[in-house]
Amino acid sequence: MDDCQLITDAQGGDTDAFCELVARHQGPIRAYLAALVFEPESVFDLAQDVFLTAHNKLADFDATRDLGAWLRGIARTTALAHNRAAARRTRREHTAAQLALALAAEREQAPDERLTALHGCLRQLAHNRPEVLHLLEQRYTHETALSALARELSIAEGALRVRLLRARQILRHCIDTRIAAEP
Amino acid sequence: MTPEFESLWLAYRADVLDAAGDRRLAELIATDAGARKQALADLEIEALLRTSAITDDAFVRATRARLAAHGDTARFVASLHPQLPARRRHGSTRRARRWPWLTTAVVVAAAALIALAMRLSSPAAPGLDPASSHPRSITLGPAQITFDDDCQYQLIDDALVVSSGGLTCSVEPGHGGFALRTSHATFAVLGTRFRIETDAHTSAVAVEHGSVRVTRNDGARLLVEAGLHCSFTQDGPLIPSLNREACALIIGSASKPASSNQLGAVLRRDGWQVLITNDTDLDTIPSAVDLIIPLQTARSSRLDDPSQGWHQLPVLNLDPSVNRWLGISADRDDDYLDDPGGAIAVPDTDATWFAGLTGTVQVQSANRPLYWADPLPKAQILARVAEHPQRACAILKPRSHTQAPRLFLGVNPVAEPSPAGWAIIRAAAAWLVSEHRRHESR
Repeated sequence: MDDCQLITDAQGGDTDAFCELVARHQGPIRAYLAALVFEPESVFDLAQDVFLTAHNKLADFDATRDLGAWLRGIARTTALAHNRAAARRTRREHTAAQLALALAAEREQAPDERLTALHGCLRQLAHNRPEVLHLLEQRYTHETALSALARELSIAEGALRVRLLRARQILRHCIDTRIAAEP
Repeated sequence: MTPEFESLWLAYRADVLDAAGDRRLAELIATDAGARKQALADLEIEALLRTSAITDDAFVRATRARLAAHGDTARFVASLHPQLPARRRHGSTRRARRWPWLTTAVVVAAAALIALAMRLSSPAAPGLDPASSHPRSITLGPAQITFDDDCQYQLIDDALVVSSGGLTCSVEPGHGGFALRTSHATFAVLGTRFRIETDAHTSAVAVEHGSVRVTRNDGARLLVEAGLHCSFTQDGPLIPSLNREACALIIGSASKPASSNQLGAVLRRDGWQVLITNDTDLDTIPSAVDLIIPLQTARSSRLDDPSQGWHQLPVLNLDPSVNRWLGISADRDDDYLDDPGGAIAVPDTDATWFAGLTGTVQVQSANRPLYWADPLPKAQILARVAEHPQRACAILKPRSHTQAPRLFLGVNPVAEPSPAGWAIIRAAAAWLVSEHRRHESR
């Protein structure tokens, strides 16, 4: 079933149809938001907000239009509002404000393929650098607290932060390489 | 990254950047394209990792739950009154037929499956039965839910709605997206272990691992992370507090501020973060501490109210007077703390928690019976002071009140402890904090 029919069903009150639209579009929207917000932990909530906003406005949406583009528009507005609020409340206001500006200026389009490339790179790490993958999994999949992870590794938290930074740099290099190699 | 930029960036991400560093980092991001690119890329990678860690199904489940929470208000309100007939849903079979793959790939919302399981397990029940007929424990996919005996809950469409009582829920890491509702809020679970309690006026959540997003009915939101809890009403403040479960221990002290302060001073010198507070204020402890010394007052009821439920609670009971609070009969004639010359020994455990301390503490294996006059059937001895086993030991007993921490150390502040007594108290504190941290690290 195409988006158009699902949108029509959802506009008629079919929650399952709307959830199917969520299932289809959540990956790109989350990837899009991931590049737009400077509080990574907020992506999950903001993506939900995007779909709730879409649900509330769905009656006014023309089912023949591109739903993905419409959702990205909502996501962009949501992310910018979030960044402005976050910049106001952070104690590191100068840096946060600069990041908000930079994100707004440089991330007009967030390629969905970065999420796909990330998955490929994680598989690659499992083969080439299992210790790096373990570190990333502990921190981001299992949400292990920095303090607990540092204790497990018998290193200081500061050293752990540096290791995580290095791990993310390895991952970023891999993602960039994969995307550049694509035709 | 240049060393300067990396240093500033790490401090920024650790939230320890000072004002001068903040200005310098902002300047670098504004003027140095390379630095700006690296900062944005690092943020993006971290966000992608966090995004990637949450499964697609989990995201859809959570979104569905929030839709349900903000959807049919009339049905939701009706659901809180089991005696009122609730409208059944007739569309699920039709939808499953239309998108059969959807029922396995997407509509695996934990709450929906719970509903399905409930209906399948009791086909005569309409699915919206009074809560009393529901099982008290469910293991389903990534979610394990244990309901208190008095918990009243219902399954409304795809949402599990709790109208009163408490439950404990565990969701495997990486499988978040499970959601629960009370009459005040929706609790979206992000891979965690947590507990929820609610009644007509209040809802509360205490998070042991992971985090729980609270979205109150008025739209106010709060991320409650591990070690914190939040108790709130429909329109009051939505502010997290230190999770009582996260306290390493509370030292029970019977209205003797001077002695308590002495305890506090000794334990602070040992490096613990100690807070002395009225025991009626345990719910509003503002920041993380290792040890709490609650002062009992005439209006205190925290330490002796046996009507608040049963939870496993390791208690290091160093003083017979504490037994009274715990409902245990014991001889109170002597105070071992005044006994000189004790020496700490740990004969049957591999623990090294008492290194460098003197005194006598004998740690035993668990599951030995208590031999007080009124043994508690669920209690277990965890540790004892060797020379006075009948008056000092650690037990695992049912919790007698909801406001207690998981770990509890009782001492008698009336007597002035001898050096050996202080050594025992300090060793006990170290042992309990260590036990707590071991529990946390698991």
